[in-house]
Amino acid sequence: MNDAVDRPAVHPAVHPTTPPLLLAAGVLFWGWQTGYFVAALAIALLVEAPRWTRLRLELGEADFNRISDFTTWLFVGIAGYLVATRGVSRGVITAFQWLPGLLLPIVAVQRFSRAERINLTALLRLLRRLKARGQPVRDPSVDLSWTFLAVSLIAAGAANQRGPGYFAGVLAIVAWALWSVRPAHAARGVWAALFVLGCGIGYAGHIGLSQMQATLESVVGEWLLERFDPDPYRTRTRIGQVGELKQIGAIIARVHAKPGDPAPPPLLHRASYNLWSSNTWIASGAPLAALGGEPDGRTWVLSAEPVNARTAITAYFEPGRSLIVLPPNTVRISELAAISVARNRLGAVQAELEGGWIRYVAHSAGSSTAHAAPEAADSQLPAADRELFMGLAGRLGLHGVAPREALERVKRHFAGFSYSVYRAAPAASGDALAEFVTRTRSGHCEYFAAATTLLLRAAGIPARYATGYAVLEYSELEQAWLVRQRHAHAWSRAWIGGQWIDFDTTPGEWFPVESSAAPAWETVVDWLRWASFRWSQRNAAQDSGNMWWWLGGVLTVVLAWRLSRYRTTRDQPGGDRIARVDWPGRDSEFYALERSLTARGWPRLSGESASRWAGRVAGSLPALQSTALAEATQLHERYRFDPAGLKPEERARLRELCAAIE
Amino acid sequence: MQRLFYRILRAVNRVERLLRERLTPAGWIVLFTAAGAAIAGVDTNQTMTYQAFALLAALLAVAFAAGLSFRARVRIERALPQYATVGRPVSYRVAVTNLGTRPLAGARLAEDFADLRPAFAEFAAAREPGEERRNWVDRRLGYFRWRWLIERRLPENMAEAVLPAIAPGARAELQMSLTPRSRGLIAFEGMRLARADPLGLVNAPCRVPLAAKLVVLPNRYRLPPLAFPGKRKFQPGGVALAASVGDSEEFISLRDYRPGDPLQRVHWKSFARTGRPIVKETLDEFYERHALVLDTATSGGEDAAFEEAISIAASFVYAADTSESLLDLLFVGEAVHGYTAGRGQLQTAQMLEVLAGVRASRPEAFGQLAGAVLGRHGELSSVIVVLLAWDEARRGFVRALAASGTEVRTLLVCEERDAPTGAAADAIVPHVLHPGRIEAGLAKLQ
Repeated sequence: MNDAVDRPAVHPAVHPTTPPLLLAAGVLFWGWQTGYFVAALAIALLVEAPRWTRLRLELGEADFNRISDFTTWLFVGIAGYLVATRGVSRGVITAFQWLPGLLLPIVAVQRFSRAERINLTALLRLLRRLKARGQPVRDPSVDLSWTFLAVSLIAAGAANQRGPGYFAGVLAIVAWALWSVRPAHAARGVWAALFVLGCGIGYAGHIGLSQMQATLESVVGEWLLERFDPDPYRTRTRIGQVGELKQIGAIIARVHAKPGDPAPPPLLHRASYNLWSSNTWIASGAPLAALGGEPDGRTWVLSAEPVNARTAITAYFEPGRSLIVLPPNTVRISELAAISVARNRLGAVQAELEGGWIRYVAHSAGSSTAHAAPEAADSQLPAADRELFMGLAGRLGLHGVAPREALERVKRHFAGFSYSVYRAAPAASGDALAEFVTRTRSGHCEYFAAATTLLLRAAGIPARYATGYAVLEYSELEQAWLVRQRHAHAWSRAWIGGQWIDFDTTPGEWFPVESSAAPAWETVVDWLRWASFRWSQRNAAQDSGNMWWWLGGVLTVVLAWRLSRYRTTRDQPGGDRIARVDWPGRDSEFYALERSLTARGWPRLSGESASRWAGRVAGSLPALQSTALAEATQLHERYRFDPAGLKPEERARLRELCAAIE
Repeated sequence: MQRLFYRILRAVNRVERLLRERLTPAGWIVLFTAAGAAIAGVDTNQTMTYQAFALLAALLAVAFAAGLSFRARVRIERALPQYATVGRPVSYRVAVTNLGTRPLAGARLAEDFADLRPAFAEFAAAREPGEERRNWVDRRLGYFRWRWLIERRLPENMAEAVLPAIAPGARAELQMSLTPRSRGLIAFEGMRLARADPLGLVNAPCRVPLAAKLVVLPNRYRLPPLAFPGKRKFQPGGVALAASVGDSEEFISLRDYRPGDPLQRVHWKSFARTGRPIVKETLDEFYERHALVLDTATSGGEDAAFEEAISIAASFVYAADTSESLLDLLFVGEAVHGYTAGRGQLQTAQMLEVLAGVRASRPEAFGQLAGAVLGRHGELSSVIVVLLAWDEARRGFVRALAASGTEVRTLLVCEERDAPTGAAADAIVPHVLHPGRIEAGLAKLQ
């Protein structure tokens, strides 16, 4: 039996930092995916610079705390703002996308600090509070470099650049990172084989995840998507849904009109549907057909009638194809910077847009041929509801009266109903629309619009179900009519006198009821929304993203100015990292001993006092050496901090002890 | 509801312990990145991060599977000391012999403790130091209390030791160390040998059963030189297990056994001869007997003041000269416990071991303790009382003890905010000590 000669070392608690240039690669990958090349280059240089410069910031605990708080508030403020102005989904994703930029202050400061690590309490206010209260708190020093790399990868993915680039980039960076920390006992071939296997499974896995979501969506139903992306071909109503209707106050469009200008049309149309089936309205036989634009590329003609009114609208759109809102009888759209525009015969207009706040002008006429004349589908009653609505039409005496008189009677009939955004669970399952017409006589606009459409058809009047927004809220601050998400509305379109007219039977109380649901802080949020909107409109490009680069620039300048006020030091050349500041005891041999022991596998942790480190290391040294180390540490600390210093013989003893241990 | 929180904490702790054992630092980063990517990529149409999640999760799975092939045949010997003291590092040697046929490289060694999770009853009854200052939610959920209960059982500075490469049949010795956080028993279940998989993400563990126990004695303070006051007193019946010291073994006569006589007094030869139990009588004993009364009846749980009170009691036990006197340690748990040191009775180390296991008792239990001490005041030369509060019951107890003619020295351990204020109504004033400043306070003891 032969004994092992290697001396066991204590497992180092300090994990290696990222290898050179890996962090830069991660940030540049983020820049490539998001399109923020310049910013990524600047960030990459900043985070890798400490490897080549000896410039260091002399920062204390309080400085780290302040910069950490600044970073937190910066992130919270911007994320909150994005959520308030862009909605939760888009806001959160954008905040994710900007994470490397938002976290840069704390990461850069850590990289430029002398310890190149940061205490956990600096990052978490709660821990700081507990520590201040005297409660025991673990406060290890951490290296944010790996976290920053992880954040860069996630932020790059939030840009949603479809294609193989993202997977390939993540794979390359992960391979680099794992190779740099691979265990010494791992054979290179085995490592490579396992990594390739992991990549193969990961590649199959991501395809599987994508397909699983597609399957799930088709099984669960399309309603999830419809909440966010209106479909010109169908709209699933909330008829029959139990509970409170969700009211969202986000502003989705502004109709510009100065005080004294004529009020805009009360309804902005988005899409119409002609077929009713299972609580869903479908645009049957109405495919979208592309419109040819005018030579200026910004004007789109729907029909040729003379224009008698123009309405300037600015609406928010997600990038891609979206339905645009238009006043009734719109015959031409101008100033619309769209890649393409298409429309269907029921009056829906879809545009392919770059996204963001987009301004356009709708020109309307007294009547329009843009909406096709009625067809069989516009008079069709579903079999399940035929008896109900035919009976009701009979009771109201709608048969045989003039269409306008029939409209009056229908209007009077529904005037006796009430508006409600809440539906209690029914005693028994059944047709919710029938229940609305016969029993509850209370519901939201979709109930009224669907019932009216079917009732008109029962009376022999062709009718369609129309969706869009009501324009009823004027803002003095913005000098515009505000259209919020909760102003979404549904009504009927009836074919009267050779043209389609909007016919809304929802009681007028619906608007105050929905407005009353607005939170108390809506005024404040509106002010922020307005500020953001004004900023986004400052130039023709309408690129709100640029604002953040301006803001980021200003903040960086402020931060740089603040940091320039801290004391900086420059390390000695030759790898000696002792600052060029004179202090007593700098010539102590203990430092050489510390380096020697670090090389032997006992590194001194950042923030660890010499005595604590010596205590930790002593356990792993032979008895004689550990006693000598304890004595040397004591002498060294006296040499460093005791105003009286050491006597000559004590100084010699310190030298002797350090040499003996080394 | 509290039971539900307890179950959740228990389950979470199990997962956390498993992850801590299995994941390397790189594995943690990969896990957190994968989790972040999963959250950001929950809708695969909105972001691409689901691809990063799939890749990282697959790498973790491969690393886990690769770790399954790790087998180590080793013999481990651990040389633990008998006692440790709270807050003082303990070093011990561990020898690892590779019994396998292949070299063992890249492995690390760590202690494997028995289940550290408290039982529900303990979780419900315990109070973390300073818990009253926590907010309502924290007090209800009990997360910090849970963490405290586990951490106090777990020694500090338990760094994993890196094993050198060990050839087949070779043996490596290494030194490990730990610092106990609290007094009591540290139960070692075995040792865990772990080696990272080739990707460096997951530790493949190999457990070696090696049960052991380490008694952690309470912390002790330096005491000023103290003369235990009092005079020799008659001790009826003598010391049950007294060695042949002094006059306690002076034989007087034989008499018939009376119920209550200790078995050691039976004179077996006479018993054999007569067929009925006969006991021997010895000369009455006169010597000093001191009592150390430890107040464990508190509503504050085992907080800082409680631990300091135990440390003070340990300091007295350690400092008392028991070669010519007896020292009774009295405290109350479910019932009143009494242990005696000196003159052939318990040794100092055994008394400290008793103190290592003392737990807090109900606040009402103080009455029992007071009754027991007052009941034996006739035997006692002096009493040192270590109290946790200065309420009417305790004042009355000290007053009664002093009135009985026994020398009483009263120490009160409490936070500064709980210190008695105003002029004392009577001459009995306790010596007040505050946690964190005990040594300085004891130095002023007259």
